[in-house]
Amino acid sequence: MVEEDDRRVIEQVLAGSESAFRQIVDQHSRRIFNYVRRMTRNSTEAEDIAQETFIRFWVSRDRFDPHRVKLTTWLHRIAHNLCVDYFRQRQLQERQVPVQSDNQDSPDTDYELSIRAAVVHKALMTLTERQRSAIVLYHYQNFSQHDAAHILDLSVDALESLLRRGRSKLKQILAKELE
Amino acid sequence: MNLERFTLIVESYGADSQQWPGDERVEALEFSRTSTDAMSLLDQAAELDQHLALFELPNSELSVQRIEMGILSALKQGTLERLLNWVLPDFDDLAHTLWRPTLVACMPLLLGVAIGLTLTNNTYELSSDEELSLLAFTDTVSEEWSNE
Repeated sequence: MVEEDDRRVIEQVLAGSESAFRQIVDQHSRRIFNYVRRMTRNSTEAEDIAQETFIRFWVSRDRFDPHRVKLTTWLHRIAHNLCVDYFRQRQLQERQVPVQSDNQDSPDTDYELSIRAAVVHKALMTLTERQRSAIVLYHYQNFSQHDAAHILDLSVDALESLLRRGRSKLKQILAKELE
Repeated sequence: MNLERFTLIVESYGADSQQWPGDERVEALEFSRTSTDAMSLLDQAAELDQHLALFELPNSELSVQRIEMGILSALKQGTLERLLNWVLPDFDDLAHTLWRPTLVACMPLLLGVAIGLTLTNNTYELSSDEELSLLAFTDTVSEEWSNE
């Protein structure tokens, strides 16, 4: 399921090797950050979530079975669960202290995106968290249906349905915004 | 393959056939070549794919460095924290965990005893002259005492 070199590094990590773990961080941190970055609109929080993803992986590494699931899928699953926690926490906070602005996300990040990229990101943020995850995992992170469904803990049919609804909504929004 | 299934595939996975489910790809591709409705669907999906492709992230080198630094410092902290957590007693379960701080507190004492024992075991051997003079001194003293 995994390449020989990767398998060796993973075995070392599972045995508790910190240097092997650093290698894993080096290989996967950019991809995990990009996933979280597309899921949230705040790069600082995306950094925190990406960091927490690797710490969780390290702390509970004995739960990872490389014969059943790819490392990258496993890491994305942890990152996805942390994103879900993050959105829940934010919803709770917003209920306690309602935000008046229509743009409830931190504005500190979109300045670094091009205008058109920011429009697409904003449109993505209007989707439900699951629809957004499905689209980001499938279209941007290039996962197969099976792996994306595994990360979201869904059947392939349910993933397909999420993708279809998400794309349909994006099509409507982007047709107005980008033309 | 029929139009209904083809529509579902394209609306879900987009216009790029490489993104379609592997087990249906060949049939779907053949269908797309024969149906005008299918071609129109592909055009619409391709437009959305192009829009989605606009969302490129900027270079995140600094962010990645910060993430890696954060993980490394958390690892170091983790070792120290684990040690402290082990040493500090659990107040809900004092009976089973109190021995740990006690053991840590006793370590200097045990170390002192060990050092002391090591030093006292070093016996000082007298030279034969020293031994003779000591014996002579002992006899004189014992004689003086007996005279008294």
